Amino acid sequence: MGDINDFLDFVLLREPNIVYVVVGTLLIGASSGLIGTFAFLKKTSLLGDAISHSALPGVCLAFMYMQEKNAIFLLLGSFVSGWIATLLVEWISRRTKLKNDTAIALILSFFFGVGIFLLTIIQNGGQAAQSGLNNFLVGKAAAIQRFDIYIFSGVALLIIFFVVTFYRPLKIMVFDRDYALSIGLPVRILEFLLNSAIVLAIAVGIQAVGVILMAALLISPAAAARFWTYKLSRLLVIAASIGAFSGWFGAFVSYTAPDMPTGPWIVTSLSVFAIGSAFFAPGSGMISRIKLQQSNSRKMLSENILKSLFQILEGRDANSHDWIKKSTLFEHRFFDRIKFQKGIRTLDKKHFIIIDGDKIRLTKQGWAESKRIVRLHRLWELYLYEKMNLAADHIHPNAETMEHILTPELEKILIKELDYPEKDPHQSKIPE
Amino acid sequence: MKERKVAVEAHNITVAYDRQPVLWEVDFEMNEGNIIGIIGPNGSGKTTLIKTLMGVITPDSGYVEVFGAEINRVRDQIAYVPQRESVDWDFPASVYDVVMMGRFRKNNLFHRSNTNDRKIVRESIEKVGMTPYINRQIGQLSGGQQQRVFLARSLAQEADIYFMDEPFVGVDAATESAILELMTTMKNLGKTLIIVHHDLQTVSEYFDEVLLLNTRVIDYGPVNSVLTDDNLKAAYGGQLNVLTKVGDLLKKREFPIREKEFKKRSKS
Repeated sequence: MGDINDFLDFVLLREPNIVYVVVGTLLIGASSGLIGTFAFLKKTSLLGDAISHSALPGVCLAFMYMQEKNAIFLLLGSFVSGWIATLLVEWISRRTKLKNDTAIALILSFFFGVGIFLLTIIQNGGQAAQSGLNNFLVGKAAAIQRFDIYIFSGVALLIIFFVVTFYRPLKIMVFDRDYALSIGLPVRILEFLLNSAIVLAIAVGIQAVGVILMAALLISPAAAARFWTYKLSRLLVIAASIGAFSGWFGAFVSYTAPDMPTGPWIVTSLSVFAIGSAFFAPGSGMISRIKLQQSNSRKMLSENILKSLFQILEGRDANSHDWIKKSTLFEHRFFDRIKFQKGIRTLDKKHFIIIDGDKIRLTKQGWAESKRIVRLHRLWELYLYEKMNLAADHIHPNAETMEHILTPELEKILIKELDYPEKDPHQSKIPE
Repeated sequence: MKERKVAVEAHNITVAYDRQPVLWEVDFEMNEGNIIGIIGPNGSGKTTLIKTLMGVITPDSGYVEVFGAEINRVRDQIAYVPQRESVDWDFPASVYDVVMMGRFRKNNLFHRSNTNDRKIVRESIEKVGMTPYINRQIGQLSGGQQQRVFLARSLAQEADIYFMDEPFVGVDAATESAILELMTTMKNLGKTLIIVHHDLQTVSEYFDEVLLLNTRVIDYGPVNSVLTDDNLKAAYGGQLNVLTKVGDLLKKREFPIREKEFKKRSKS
């Protein structure tokens, strides 16, 4: 990569040319992420891939016709051939025996093949103007001319405007098409506009990403954003931001390392977002799910210790704050020694127990908490026994788990439904 | 007694998928203020029929009128509860979002919800007992709760005719009684309910009238007069061979359902 000055030039927008490229790629990325969210929700991600590959012959034909790289014609060319591909996929899957995925694969490879064929012809033709047409394959953000940037930014703004204005009808149509028809929404027109917006986003996006990797700029932002929210409005904002950042990042690479194609770098950035989200997103991410499992097992462990303390005291008919040796606990129930140490430390921090060397005693709070756990265990056993007709010797294992998860509300319902019971099926007292 | 208006009329509707007719010459008039069941075996065209009545599907021949008018002029008077499985419940929306869709009409494409809309949405959610889940993502709801969300959306539409597609499928007892209660309330308000249903056991309990359907109308009228042994045999007992064979033939030969000059709507 380039030196530190290039880096600063770019980040601080020190040259006017950089401002144009940055604004342009930000808008291109944002509009792709935005409209791509609808493609993602409509489950037409693969169609997006076919459309972007199909843009290539359009680009080449536009060039052959104009004999120069005229942004408007290149855009028009890719738009038209993208639309033709869309219609062909639809036509094939509706009118022939072939299924949608086959139609997509057929159209993608056919159009891309024709595109490569035309590209070869152009390159062998030897016009000076054709240099850089290759950039449409893998993208080169920094190579976009200033005039082109105006056009692409304009189109990107148009797409953003479309999504913002038609937000509600689009939402209804994508969620429930029949319902949209039943309230008289102009579904066909909306679908046409949505498809056109997708094709347009692809047509401008291929400047930065190239036709081969364009589908990623369309789909990955939404796929990543989906981990963070379940509100469509937020999903759109997050996807647009991820798309915009990745577009900017591509331009950055393109500027500081002019020999690099930008497409792969944009896709790398997008993938970091998508994979990162899959791991780190709160709630739905893998890390937070693992954490939840860990916190569950910690909760179970410390509650089991409390329960054992209660049962030992109960067996001795002893006072609630009598000291108990750790070794007695190990005799009473199996505990992993290392985890046990962690468990009593947690309980100590919560002021449920007091530790004195190898002895432990319950505090007042700890006594109440241990009673609660034993109560839930015995209530649940009684419930299984009375309401689900399970045998008394079959109910213990299930209650071992349920005691940790039953909420105070469920406890109230259980007590009421069992008509304020006093003893469990094993004739042990259910503590107050 | 007040004179009853005709709510929905179907005039010789024929609908085909891929040239194979699923509805043949369906013709009837339904009066307003009734709870009407559309009953028939699987694949008998029940869903297709209500979609055609609502103008979601355009018939290959024949036409529909709602309150004596062309459907597009009275869309604000109809509400729709689709089959629960017809949508993807992973869609990023909350209960409130989906019910708010009921306040959306084609003539206010860019309309923003106002205080009145929000009030109606909250009331509709309350009526189906979903207020505790109002901000819940719809994918996290049980099947019965999802069905209630659809019901609430149709209530928010404030319509006169309610089309419901299999609302009782896969719901818990609580949801079932909630739906039944709503049906009674709406009937008392003079609304018309047209409900696709497939469980013969509960027909007389739920409906005032039934339309027995198997590609063609077997019979239509009060429950007792329609659910006769002969009618049920005609609907459920075996295929109507000639009709099926003609349908297959149309498909194979790529024949049109109607010759062109008959396709146009004509009252004569």
